[in-house]
Amino acid sequence: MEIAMKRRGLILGSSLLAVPALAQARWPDREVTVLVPFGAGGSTDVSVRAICAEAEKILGVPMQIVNRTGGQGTAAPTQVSQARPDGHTIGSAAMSGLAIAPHMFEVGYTLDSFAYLPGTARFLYGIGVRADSPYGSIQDLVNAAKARRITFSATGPPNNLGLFDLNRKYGTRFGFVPFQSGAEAVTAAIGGHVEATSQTPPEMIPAIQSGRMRMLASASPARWKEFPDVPTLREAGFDVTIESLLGFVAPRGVPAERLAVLGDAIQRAAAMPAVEEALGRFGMVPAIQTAPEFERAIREGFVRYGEQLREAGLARR
Amino acid sequence: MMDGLLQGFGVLMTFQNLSLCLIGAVLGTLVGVLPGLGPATTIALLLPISLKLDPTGAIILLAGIYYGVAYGGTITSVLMRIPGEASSVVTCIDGYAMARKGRAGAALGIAAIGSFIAGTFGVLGVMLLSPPLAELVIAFGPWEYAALMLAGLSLIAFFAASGVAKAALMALVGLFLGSVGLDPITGTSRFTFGIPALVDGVNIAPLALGLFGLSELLFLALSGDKKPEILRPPSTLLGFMPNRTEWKRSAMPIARGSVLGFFVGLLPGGGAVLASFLSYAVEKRLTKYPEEFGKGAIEGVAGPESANNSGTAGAFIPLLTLGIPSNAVTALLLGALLVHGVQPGPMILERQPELYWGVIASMYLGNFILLVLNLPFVGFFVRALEVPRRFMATAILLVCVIGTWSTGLNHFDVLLAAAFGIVGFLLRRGGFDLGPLVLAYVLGPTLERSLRQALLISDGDLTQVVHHPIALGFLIVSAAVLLSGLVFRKRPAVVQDGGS
Repeated sequence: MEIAMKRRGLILGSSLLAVPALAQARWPDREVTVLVPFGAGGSTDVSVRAICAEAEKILGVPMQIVNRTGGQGTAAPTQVSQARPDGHTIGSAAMSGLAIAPHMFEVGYTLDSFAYLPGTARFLYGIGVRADSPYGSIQDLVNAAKARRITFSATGPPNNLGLFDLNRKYGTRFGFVPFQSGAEAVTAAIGGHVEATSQTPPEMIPAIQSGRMRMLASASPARWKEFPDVPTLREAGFDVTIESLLGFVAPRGVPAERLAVLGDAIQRAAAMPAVEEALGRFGMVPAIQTAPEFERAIREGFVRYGEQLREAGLARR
Repeated sequence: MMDGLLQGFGVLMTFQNLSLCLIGAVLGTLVGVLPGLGPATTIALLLPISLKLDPTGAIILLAGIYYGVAYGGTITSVLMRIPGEASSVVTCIDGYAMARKGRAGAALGIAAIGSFIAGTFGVLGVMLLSPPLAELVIAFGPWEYAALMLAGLSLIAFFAASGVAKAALMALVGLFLGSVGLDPITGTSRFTFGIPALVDGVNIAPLALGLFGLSELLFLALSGDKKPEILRPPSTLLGFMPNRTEWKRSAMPIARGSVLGFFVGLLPGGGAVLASFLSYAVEKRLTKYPEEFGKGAIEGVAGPESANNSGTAGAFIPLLTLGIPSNAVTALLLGALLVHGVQPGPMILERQPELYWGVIASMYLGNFILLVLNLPFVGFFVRALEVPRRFMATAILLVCVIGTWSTGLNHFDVLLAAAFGIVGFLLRRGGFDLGPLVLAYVLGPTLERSLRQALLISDGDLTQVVHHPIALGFLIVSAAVLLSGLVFRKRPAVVQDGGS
């Protein structure tokens, strides 16, 4: 219904503009709709809004953000994949919707349903324990988990995949206890209901700053800027990282020159200081990738996460 | 503390913040009146606009919508048997029955006054008890939640007006409906039949609007051209108000609902909904007039409507002092704080006292505004009942369809609501209570998730519960509730909870 209405609008719009003199006009000539798979006010939404606020200055047309929630973050990519490939409908995309969800339940798209735009940001992950926990370092925690089962809280993948990878590569016995939201996962850890947590900065930072939680390692490729003394898992000697990126996709079939215009604007926007600041508030960092780099990262993530989810018994059969 | 509060009122007394408080309260009432359109949707819509405001102003506005909704949600429940919000589902039972007896004004009046008392009590609680109660929230883990949800479910013993077997059957249906969607532990889909719209589960809007609103429509349609039983409402303002007996009967339910709702609202999970059901069950147990429940007992409106308001205030404690949202709405408020660069947590009082106290002060004022706003309109709303039945029925249908559609912009939900309408009609004709179904539907997912989390933590060992005194306490309470509800109850007159 919604799509049908939009189509009617498009036909009307293009017939009005079908004047020869305007045919050569600069594209885009009207607004670009950006579908966001998560609700307003969350980390994805705020980051996308910050990037688009800069990108629309470069494009010279408004970018309209539409929060198309539902289907555990797969409703928006579904709608993007079915949109008219004229470049006026694009979507934000992350590992969760493109590289993880298809392994867990049926979705209405494949990786080939999209044309890829640049990647813009990276989510950060960290491993923490409650403040009075006996484990003072990530080595302590890993050694303990080699001796006995250690429970940890996290929301779904990819947050839990770092510790699963430790289990696989280093013979630890981390037991995953899923929680519905990051806040609940962190609360369970500071309340001593589970022994560790693997979450993102927005929930962990208040707990750490109030002295209830100790961060043991960053599970991302880089340290967190708030806690520069806490090493990454890799620096601590464990070959494990959680990689999750935020970028943009368009429906497959959008003309290459339009993709180039959009891609250029998004890439330049993501490098603006205002964007970095907005990302930082939600525990994300800029990670600018060209469209082919972003596509490769998503495709590699799809394969790697597929293996990890199957091994963890979380993939659908 | 008094200094803080004075500072808060100082922050509030600017033209901008006063207007935002008023706008929030008015919008909240409207959103509460419109079924389907909930506070979460509205706040999400307004969030981008609120970015243009300073953080204190933004939170004053958004919080106003949140607690304003708890006022407005009652109106359609009483007048049309359509729950404006999930937390007003239980009000449909006795509120609507009161309206049919010509006491719609009393029901709405007592709800508004109860809401004001409970809302103000809740803000007081936030102000005085925040730090110790934050510790209580942290002490709640999977075992404690599982046991609390079980205690909540045991309340169906009190809803079993139609007989224990029927109530238990309805609860099972509710549990099943709550289990549709992604498995909370493994994330794989259950009972979705390949329908993408079901991946997120059965939404509360089509369920509540269908079972209560649309089924009522079918009863209206079947009742033919009979004259509506609504008495002509009195023309003076005081005539709308509860009378002396009604006041006396409502005082204790309001007090109990306020305390109960505040503590339940603190905890993540079904907060306001659980609070309203809990209060209803408690009142039904304690009342001297159990035979009136289901037929228009004012306690069944006063208690739950107070409980759901103090619950909204209670939810601010974990939000502001721990940065832990206890429901979808406070999660959005947390997002709004983060967008403005405000990190909630114990430090908020030291770092942003003007925000903390400004918001607290705005909640006192907001509740007062809501009372002033709501009371004079009671008469206006009651007049809606004079609308001829055929127009009223059309309005109910329209409201239900739009309400269902607007929550997810999903036509599947509208079909689902239609199906629930027919199912609800048949169940009510068969003498089944719908209360246990909704209660189980709301509590079931949290019960399942918490129990499975607890079993994952204990490696499958159910006996570990003995190490959790709070959880054990709740289990004992559930057993006591079941016993007192099933074994020692007076044989009730069978209440037919079915239309005309």
